Amino acid sequence: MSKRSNILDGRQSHLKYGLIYTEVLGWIDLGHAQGTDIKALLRKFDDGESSGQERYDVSYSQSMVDPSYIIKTGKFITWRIRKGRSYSERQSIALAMMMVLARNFEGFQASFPFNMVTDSGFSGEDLVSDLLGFYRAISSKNLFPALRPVSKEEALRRWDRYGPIGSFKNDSFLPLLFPDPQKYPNARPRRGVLPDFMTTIRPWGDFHSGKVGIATADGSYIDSAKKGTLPYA
Amino acid sequence: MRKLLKVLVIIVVVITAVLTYAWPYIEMEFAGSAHYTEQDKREYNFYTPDILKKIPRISPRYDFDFTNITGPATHVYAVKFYDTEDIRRINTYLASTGYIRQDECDAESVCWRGTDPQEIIYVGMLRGEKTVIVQVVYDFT
Repeated sequence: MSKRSNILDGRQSHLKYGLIYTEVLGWIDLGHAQGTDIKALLRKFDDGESSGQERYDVSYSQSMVDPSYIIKTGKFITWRIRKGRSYSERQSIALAMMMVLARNFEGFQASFPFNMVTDSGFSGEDLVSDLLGFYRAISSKNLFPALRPVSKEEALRRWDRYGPIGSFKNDSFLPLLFPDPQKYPNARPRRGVLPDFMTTIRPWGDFHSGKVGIATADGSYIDSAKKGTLPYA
Repeated sequence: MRKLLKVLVIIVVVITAVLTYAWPYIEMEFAGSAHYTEQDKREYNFYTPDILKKIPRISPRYDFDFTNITGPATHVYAVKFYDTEDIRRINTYLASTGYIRQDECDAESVCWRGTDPQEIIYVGMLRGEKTVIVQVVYDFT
């Protein structure tokens, strides 16, 4: 759940947490945009390809852990991959897995009992931040300059004019933009378009040729945060 | 009847007292993030990992952040030291406590790993500010 106090100056995009505003993608939750989980997911494909098996299972999960490390709970999917996927096919499958699961997870957060304590489910910045995380994971370049992050002062101005980003729901991976109230006093939030470099990979859509099958379409789990034993958790 | 009333009053008082005591902890347990100083004892004791409690105070002006990132299940604990650039003291301290400096890190921080495989510590600066930031990241994915 993003709060006003989480807002950072756009120059601090190298941090592991916090909320910045960019003119291209709107609000970005830096925590969601790290891409660490995507790197781990792509490594599972590498392991699967080198395992020697004709088919291998790849799981991807999104979850949450409470501050006292008592419970870890979330969603997972498992897809069955036929060996021989090229590097670009693996990226395409990984992107599709992330997009499917991120929606499942946001829906999970938007449901009872989590909606009692958080407005985080489908919060305006979550999915587009996840997508940025994907492209950061597969790119060696710093992508932030192209996204035009704004100063803290300009970001706060938007927050104060339009309200908390959690109250704007966004179930697509497209940006939600909030025009600068100083320049456009009567503007309203509007949909943006993804920059070209965030459309280079197409999410995998072929489930008929046998290259990719679905083993678990919509899994949920709850486990001990510290001594959890679930393999995908 | 009177006895029953007394018992009821006592029960209500006890429940109210327990809730009053526990409520801030319940709130902290469900908070997605927190911003506090060492003087905010309740938050400081609840959130701050030991490594940040012990890290050398390289400036008299410092404060803490906690963020619970849901989705890519991650907790980030950070301390910011203002008006200083003395990263060396932090790095020396981490090395002395058995942390190993990592070769592969992000472009702008020095990072360290200890015995906990889920923990990485990033030591860096805020851009354009004379502020040192130490981020302790626990990745549960």
